[in-house]
Amino acid sequence: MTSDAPVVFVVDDDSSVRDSLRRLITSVGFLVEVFPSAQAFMRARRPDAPGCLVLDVRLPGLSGLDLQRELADTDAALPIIFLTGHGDIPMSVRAMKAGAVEFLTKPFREQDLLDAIRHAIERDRALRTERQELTELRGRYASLTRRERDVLARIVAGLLNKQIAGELGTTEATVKEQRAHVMAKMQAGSVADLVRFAARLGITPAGSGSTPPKVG
Amino acid sequence: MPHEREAYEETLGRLRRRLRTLYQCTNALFQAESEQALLRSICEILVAGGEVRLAWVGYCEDDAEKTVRPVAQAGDGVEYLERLKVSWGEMELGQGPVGIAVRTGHACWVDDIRTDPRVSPWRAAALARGYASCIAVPLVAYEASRSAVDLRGSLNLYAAECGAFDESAIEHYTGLVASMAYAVTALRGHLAEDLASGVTALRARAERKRAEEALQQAREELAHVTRVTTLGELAASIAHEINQPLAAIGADANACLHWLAADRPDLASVREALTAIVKDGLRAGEVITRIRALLTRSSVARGPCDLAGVIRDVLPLVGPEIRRHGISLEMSLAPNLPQVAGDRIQLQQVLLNLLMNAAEAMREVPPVRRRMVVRATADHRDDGPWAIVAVEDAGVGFSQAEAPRLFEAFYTTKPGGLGMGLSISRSIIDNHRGRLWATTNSDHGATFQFALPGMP
Repeated sequence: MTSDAPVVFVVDDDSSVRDSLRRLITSVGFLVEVFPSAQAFMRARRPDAPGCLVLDVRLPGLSGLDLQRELADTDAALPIIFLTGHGDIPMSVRAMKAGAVEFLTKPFREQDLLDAIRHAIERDRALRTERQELTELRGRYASLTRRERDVLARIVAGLLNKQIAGELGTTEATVKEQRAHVMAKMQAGSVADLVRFAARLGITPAGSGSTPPKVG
Repeated sequence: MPHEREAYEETLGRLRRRLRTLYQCTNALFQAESEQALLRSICEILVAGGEVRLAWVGYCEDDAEKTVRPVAQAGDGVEYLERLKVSWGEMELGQGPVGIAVRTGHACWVDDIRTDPRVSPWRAAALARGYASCIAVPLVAYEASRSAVDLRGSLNLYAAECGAFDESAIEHYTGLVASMAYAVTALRGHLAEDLASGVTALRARAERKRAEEALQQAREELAHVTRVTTLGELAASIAHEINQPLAAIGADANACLHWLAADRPDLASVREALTAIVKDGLRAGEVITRIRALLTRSSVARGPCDLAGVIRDVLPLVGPEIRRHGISLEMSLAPNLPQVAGDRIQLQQVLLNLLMNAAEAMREVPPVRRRMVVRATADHRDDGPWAIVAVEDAGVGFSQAEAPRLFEAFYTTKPGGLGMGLSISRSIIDNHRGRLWATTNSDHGATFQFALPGMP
């Protein structure tokens, strides 16, 4: 079920803090789900909605930083706001480098947390859109034939139909026809669109004698 | 009735004279320079007092006849004593007042020498010298330690009238002889030694007390320093422990503001949040109270103390630190723990030390093994109930070679350790008439535990 209502996830082993965060975040109108440990959060099925994670750094078992690392390895990454009772600078630097939205020290200013949550949710929404687009582009690319992919790689490298035909050992007319298929299947209105899509997909332009890229 | 009045005045006069005599005797006791001079002057004073005609002191000898040998005398008929044979044994010569007094330890008197069968061996000689009644008061002097009799003898008095030794006389002379015995002991040097050693002992005791007080003060200061040091090590954890409830309070208060700003305020939620705020405020306050108590340099304040409470005081302070090291902490409190008489802060410190040591001991062991158990149990022994608190870790433990040194001051296996924790802990427990000891566990690590006698 896809829904657009954002969900804030809270992971904190201290029940007072956990419950108070649930109340605070609920009071400003967000949906909240709370977890006492990183493991419990990882086990839970998350709704397919934009969201963010409010995470205590110091957790028993899997720490907040560990959880951040594990999440980054999945394709369901979430923007993270770290909370800590005693933030040391190296720890916050590490967290921020690994992509944390914010690193707040308890007791935090309410506005800082709520701003961070809104910011994180916006970021997640954008990320989700991007991820969705990418998924779609991959689908379009997957629909290309092998020969069409070869042609695509050469179009984005800036080769002319005649050069492509030369490289692929075919006629210019055939290439022209295949080029039309590529543009249609990839839903590209122009070569510029196609170049952008290829970049998103990580396709390297293919010149003379190079092998077409493999995209997963 | 003039006759009665005369009798009364006569008695009064006699008592007054005796009082004067006894007063002179007392002076003599203090002034005598030798045992011989003392005994002689007492005899002389008694005779001069007019109540007795003859006074003599005899000492018991350990010969075959158990002779009572006259050692001092004064008065009329001292030649009576030259041929006198008296014994303190069971034979006939021991059946007179002298022998009886020595053997029984009580004064023995004869009201009428003419008729009393007990004086028959000496009757003729006594009557010839004009003695009508007599008394023998036993004299016993002990050694300085009062463990053995130093000398045995008697003071013997003879009066010209029958029945001269009435109840008051017996009491007075018994008191006098007791003082004589004391003076003899003193003159024999025992008392001097006694006094000298007494003074030395007192002085030593005063010095020991001063030293003990200084030591106690130093110990308290050191205990204070280690408490502060330990708390310093725990500062981050403690800050965390205070920040948690503060963060919760802030969040809940803001949630309330949001709810109250709504058109139809969600009062049930507001109430829930306010209840949580109250609880967290108390929680933060308790942490502060515990820290303040541990930071206060307190002299020992003994009172009824609940060890479960002590454990619950300390765990919130060390708990976060323990969890930060990835250690799982289990607690098991027996419900029937006896109360102990003790200083709560000091006992908290002992537990704090044991917990910190246990956490430290597990720093290098694999995370899965990091487990700590705090156990409080009651033990009913012959001398009453005891409370035992054990801290069990799965750390590196200690070797047989290390065991004897564990509780020594300045002995440490920790880098940067002061080596004072266990030493202070042991002295605290000793001061509580308890015991602190360590054992190695069968699998991993060590168990440190202390036992304290329960309050009756």
